[in-house]
Amino acid sequence: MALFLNLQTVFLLALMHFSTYRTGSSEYLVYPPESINVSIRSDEQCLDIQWTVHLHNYTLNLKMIFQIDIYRSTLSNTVENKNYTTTLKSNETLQWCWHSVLPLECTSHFVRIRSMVDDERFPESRIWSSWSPPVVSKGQESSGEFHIFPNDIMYAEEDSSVTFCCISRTDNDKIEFFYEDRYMQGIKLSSRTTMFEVKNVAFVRRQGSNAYCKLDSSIDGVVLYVGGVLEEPKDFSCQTRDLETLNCTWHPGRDTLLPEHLPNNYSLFEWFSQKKVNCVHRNWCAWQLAPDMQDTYNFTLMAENKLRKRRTSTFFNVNQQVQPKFVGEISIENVDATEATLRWQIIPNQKNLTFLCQIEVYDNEKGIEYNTSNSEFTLSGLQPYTAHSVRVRCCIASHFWKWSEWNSKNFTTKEDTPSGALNIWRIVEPVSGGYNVKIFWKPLPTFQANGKILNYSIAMETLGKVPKVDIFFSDSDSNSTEKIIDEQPYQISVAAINSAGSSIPSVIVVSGNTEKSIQNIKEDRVNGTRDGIYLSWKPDSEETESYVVDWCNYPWDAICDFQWQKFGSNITSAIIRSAAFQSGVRYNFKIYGLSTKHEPYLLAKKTGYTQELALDCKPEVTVDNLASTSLTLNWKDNCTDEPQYGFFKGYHIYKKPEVEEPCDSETEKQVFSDNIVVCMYTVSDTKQKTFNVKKLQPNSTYSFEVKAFTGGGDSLAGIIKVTTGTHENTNLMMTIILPMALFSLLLIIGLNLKIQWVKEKCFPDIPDPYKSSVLSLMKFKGNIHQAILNTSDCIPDAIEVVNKPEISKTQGLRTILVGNEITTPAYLYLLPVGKDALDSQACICFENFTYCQAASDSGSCSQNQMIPTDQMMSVESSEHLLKVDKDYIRPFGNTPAGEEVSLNYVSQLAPTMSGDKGNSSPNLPEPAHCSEYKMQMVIPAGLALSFPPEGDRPISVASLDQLEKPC
Amino acid sequence: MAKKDFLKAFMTDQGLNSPHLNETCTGSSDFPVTETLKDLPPVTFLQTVSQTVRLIEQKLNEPVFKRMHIYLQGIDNNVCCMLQALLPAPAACPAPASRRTLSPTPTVGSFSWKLERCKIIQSYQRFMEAVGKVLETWGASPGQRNRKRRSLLNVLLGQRRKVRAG
Repeated sequence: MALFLNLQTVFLLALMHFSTYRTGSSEYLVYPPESINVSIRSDEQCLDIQWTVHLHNYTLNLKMIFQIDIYRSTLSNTVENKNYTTTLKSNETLQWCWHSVLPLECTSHFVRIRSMVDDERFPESRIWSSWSPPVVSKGQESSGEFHIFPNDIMYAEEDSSVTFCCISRTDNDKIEFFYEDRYMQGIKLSSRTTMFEVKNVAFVRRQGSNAYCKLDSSIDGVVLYVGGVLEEPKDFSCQTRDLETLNCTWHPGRDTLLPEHLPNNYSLFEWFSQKKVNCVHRNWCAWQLAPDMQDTYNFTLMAENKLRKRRTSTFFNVNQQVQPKFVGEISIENVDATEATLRWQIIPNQKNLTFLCQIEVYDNEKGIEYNTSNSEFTLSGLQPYTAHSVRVRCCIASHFWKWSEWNSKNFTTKEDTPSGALNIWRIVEPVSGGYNVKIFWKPLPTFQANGKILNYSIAMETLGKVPKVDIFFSDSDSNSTEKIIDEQPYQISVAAINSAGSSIPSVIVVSGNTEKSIQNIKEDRVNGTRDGIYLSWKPDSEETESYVVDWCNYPWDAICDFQWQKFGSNITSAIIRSAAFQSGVRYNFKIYGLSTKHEPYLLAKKTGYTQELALDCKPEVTVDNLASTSLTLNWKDNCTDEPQYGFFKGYHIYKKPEVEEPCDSETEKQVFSDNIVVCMYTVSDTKQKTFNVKKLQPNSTYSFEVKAFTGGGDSLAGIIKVTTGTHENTNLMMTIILPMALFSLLLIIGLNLKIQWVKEKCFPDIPDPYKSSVLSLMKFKGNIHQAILNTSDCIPDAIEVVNKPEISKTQGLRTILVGNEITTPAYLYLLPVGKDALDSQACICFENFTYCQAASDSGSCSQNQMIPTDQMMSVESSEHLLKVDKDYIRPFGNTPAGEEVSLNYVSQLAPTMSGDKGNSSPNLPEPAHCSEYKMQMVIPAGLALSFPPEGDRPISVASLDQLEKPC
Repeated sequence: MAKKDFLKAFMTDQGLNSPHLNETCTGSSDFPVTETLKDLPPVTFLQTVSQTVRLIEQKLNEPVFKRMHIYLQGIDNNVCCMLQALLPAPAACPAPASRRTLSPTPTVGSFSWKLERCKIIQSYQRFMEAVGKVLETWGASPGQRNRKRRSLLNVLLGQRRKVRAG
């Protein structure tokens, strides 16, 4: 055999020798590609290139490189240059598929190939062969038919770009391209072929997007199905429930939205067994196991559609991926009062598998969990006569994969004798010849009843000298019984009975002595809270076994809903709570000690409210003994200490003064929500219906409110408003002050009248020139207006103000003197217009003596002669004053009686005061000491005519005749 | 007969309701037109209707036309019922004549498939319009006039009596 192989090698090497080139001293291995075949696989848009190399070289397993050039339309337009490396194998046709963006039918493609040995054994042979002759894949552009490519149907993923081409029948036909009715511009590839590219295609509808070329009335189109990118399956895993069938599941990802006839296909491939299953569903697949043949599996899940392939793998031991499952329901056997046995069956049931099972048992109150590796379990310690719910689940103990589903079942345990003793109590009421005894008991709770209570047995045994036992029964739904006993004590036993037996009897001794002691114990008041009523009691002798508090939930009702509560011997206080407790209801409690001989004895009586309410009454208030600082309030009411509201504790009297005043020490200051401050008196005696209020303010108004109060607050108020009397000294004061006031008033009136009289006599009102009697004379002479001097027309030369310069006001070059503002007489000097304004005749002082004339007779006028007060002015003016006095007064004095006196008015306008230092008009004489003219006056005509002649500065005094001309 | 616009529904579903494609759908019809149908004797007319409807059923035997297929079957059943009142059972509803071989069915969902199905539906609707016009010449339909008056079946039976008497 070895000889044969050697011979074969030698033969092949000899053949190689003949197929080498010899160039000079070197030898090269060159194997050009042969039999090149090019075809189009339209569905994949792939140019399929196949070629061969001379047959006898294959056996050498030579590594070779093939360079493949692809040209589009012409040999100058290279679109691909590919180096294809391979190891030559026997009987193999070399093949490579080039995927084109442009449909391959759109234009011709040319392919040429050359080769090179790329084998380490022949490093010197790395020389390219010559190119093969180009092989053409002809396009349809010269078919003379109108076409679109790809044709009819194609697929693309979302957001990808798709290229179409339209081929016309003849050169330069006008072809239009529409994608979903949207016209698109193309790129001319040749005279008959136009390429169109649609970028980022989007899903429009499951029925695909229509792309078509239009040439005249002909249309050729293609439906482009745009789908989402096929995602790689996620969470791929397999498990078995029975070690017979494997169930593999995965999340396929989002829907690709491809049409129904183009589904995404999923398949499972197992590498060890080399088996493949096509999955019917898109998210799970079943695989039949061969449990005894194979434990380990290596699965590959392949997802593929027209556009993409995805794959994912999982490798596992099938025995470690088992989720057990139950066969049928669990069974419950041997159920009695406290026990029950569970059984179940679970698969897979191979012997090498061990399970761990979890059991949960619930009754009404709690749940208990158990674990077992068996397929049965006995529950113990169950509550008798109780509904139970049990559920079981299992997993593989050796390698946890998943729990099975819960398998549940319900059952009820059987009855048992009642456990514990009844809680009993009694009421003993004296009747004629003995006592009426009411025995109460509380039904046993479910966990103690242990079954349905059929009835209660009550045994009454006398403890007197003559033993006697009386046994009777009460219905299961009753909780009390009643019996009349004689004077002797009785021992009463009560027991609950169900179908399984009787409870331990509860014993109490009833004696009339207990009730007799009730009268001697005083009832205490207790305070309640919203939580309940707090009670406390003094601990009793050591023989006290327990304490009992009893009360009625509805004390005002005939069926009072009797209640009791037992406490241990070490407890001496408790908060009694009841859902029936209400506000404003007084509850009465009795606290008993229970001796070791089961004999009760009364310890204390308590009464109280959970919450007191205000009384429903309203006092009616009256006032007595009203004085200036005190009064007495009386009231009537129907307020009583009724148990429906609260403990009646007295009255609150609220004092509200109309004018705020402080509260005295006897009162309590209360500030209401509206910030009204009142003083509160408290009357603690509920029988007191009168109250003396003191320390009031005289002649003040108070509002008093009387309210009955409890711990729950005040009742409605009886309100009265009172005004205190005047103080006792007030009358005395009034007898003095009132006449004095009247006298003062009369004095003021008298003085006022006197002042008026003096004024009328000394200072008569200035007559209105228009109303003057002089005017009546002028009527005869002509124009009445010529007789009246208009003050605005006259500008006096200068007026020196002797005093009161501060009251002058300047107005331009003139000073207006407001006569009525001058409260003290002023001397006015009319300054003569001369170079020396301070000549002896420079000032003429006017005083309003004109109207004094009439009054001169009375002598009162002399009082009006006033002396200037200005010290500065008085130095120079004394002489002027005398002169003026002389000049001024004389004509009056010299006027003969009966001679007609012509009255002249002096203008009230005054020139600028000489005292205005800041104002130094050159037209005015300075200094001008006498420029103020205080009062309009009438002067005799003669005096007016004695003023300086014309040519001098005009003066402010003119006769009525002169006044006909403007000043 | 309630009018169902299957053509519009199909074109909307397939995205063919554009002016260019609309024209392509409304090509010539291979089915008999009004002029041909109105000259046919009633039985022949009904048989033609039945055969044509069955031929359309064959062409549109694809899941996408499921509702339309049921509708066509209903029409065919009604026509056959009328024919069976006139003719013995086997001859009443003859199988559609295989007079012409159906052209190769294009790939479902392809552009040519869409256009071809569009043309078939359009032809069917034209044919049914023609049938309706012919039936109008026969008298009032039961739904339009008082049912006590002549129904389509009464018309047919009356014509059969005339034929036999004649």
